[in-house]
Amino acid sequence: MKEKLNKLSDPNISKQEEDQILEQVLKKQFDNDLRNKWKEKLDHEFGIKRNKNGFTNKKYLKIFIATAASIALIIGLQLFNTTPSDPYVLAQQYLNDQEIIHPGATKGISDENENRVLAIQMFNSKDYEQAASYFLNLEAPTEEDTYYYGLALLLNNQYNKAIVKFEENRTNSSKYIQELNWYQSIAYLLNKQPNKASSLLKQINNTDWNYEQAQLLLERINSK
Amino acid sequence: MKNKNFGLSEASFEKLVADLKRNDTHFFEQVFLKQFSETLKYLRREYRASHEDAYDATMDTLIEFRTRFIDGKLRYGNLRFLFTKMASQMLLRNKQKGATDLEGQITLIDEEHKEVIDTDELGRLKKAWQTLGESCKQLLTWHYYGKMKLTEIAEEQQKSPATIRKQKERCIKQLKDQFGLKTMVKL
Repeated sequence: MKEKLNKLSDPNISKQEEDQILEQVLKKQFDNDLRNKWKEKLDHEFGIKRNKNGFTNKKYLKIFIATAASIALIIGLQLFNTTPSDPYVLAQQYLNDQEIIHPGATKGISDENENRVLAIQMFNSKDYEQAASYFLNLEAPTEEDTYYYGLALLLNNQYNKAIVKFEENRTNSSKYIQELNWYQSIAYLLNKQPNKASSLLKQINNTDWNYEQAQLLLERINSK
Repeated sequence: MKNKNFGLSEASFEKLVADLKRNDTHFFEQVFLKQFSETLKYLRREYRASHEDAYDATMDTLIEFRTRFIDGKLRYGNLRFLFTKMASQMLLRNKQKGATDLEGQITLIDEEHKEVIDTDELGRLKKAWQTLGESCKQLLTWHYYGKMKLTEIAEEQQKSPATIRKQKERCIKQLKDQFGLKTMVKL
C-alpha cells in the first residue's frame, strides 16, 4: 500500500491506476472510520462492547421502537408527482432547475485570451447574450468553448442557433455526448420540434446522465 | 419476505442502498446494528466462538455488507440468511486467515484488502484530505467510496457531467499536491 500511495505522486500515473489507488486507500480509511463509529454506537446505544461481559440489553427496546418507527416512516413516504404534463413546460422547468456553471478554463490553457475569460465570466453571471458574443469572437475555440457557446445560446432562448452549435460540437468529439444529447433534446423541445427531441431522447441510455428525466419527457411527448 | 430482510420492504431496501452511496449510514445502522447481538449470539452458539472473535466477525460482516450494497451485489431476497452466513464465513476466515467460498454466493475479500497498510503514509494522506473543501470531500467520497458514477453525482447536484469531471480532476490534484508536499517536507 505504501508503494501505491507513493505512486500517486508519480506524474506519469494513468487515470485508471490513480482511480484504483484512491478507491482502495479511501475505502480503507472510511472503513476504519465506520468501524470506530459503530464500535462506539454499539457500546453506547446497545450496550455491546468488544470486551467480554460488556453486553447488556438495556436499550434494546428503545432502539427497536425507534428503528421500527423510522422504517414505518420511510415505507409510508409517498412521492407526489408534481411534474408538468406539457413536455415543453417540463423541458423549460428542467432547464431552469439545473444550475449550469462554467467550471473555468481547461487545465493547460494558461495563455487565456480575453474573450474566453470574459465569456466564462458572463456565462457564470448568467448574462448569456454577452457570453455568446464573447464565445463568438474566440479565434480558436476549443471543444469546451463550442459546448458552452451552445449552452449560452440555449439559455438565451436562441434555440435554432443552439441546435446548430450543439450539432457542430457533436461532430467534433464525443467528450460531451451525454450533455449534448440532453441539452439538444431540450433545445428541440423548446423550439417546438418534438419529433427530433424524441429521437434524440431515445439515444439517452439508462446509464447516462438524466436518463429518468429523458424518459419522463418521452412519456409526455408521446401522450400529447 | 420482510422478515427475511430485516423488516425492510423492497422500497426501503432501495433507499438504504441509495443512502449508502451518499455515505449516509444512518438508515443502515438503524437496521443492522440491532442485528449485531443476534449474530454475535449465533456465532458463539454455533461455532463456540469467543465473544471477541464473534464481535470482530460481525463487525467485518457489517463493513462487507455495506460494500456489497453499493457494489450492487446484494439483492432484496433473503438478507438475514446472507448476513448470518457471511458472518460465519468471516469468523472462519479470521480464524484460518484464509478465504473460503460459500454456496457460490459469498466470495470473501480479495488480496488487496489483506495488504498491510503503512499507517504513517495513510495518516499523511488523511491530513491532506482534511485540507480539501467540503465539496471536494463529498465528490470524492461519493465517487470512490459510494461508487457513484460521475453522471449520477452530476444529476444529484444538478450540474453537468463535464463540470463534475473537471471538479474531480481539481480535487485530486489538490489532494495529490498536499500529499506530495507533505512527503517532500518529511524527506
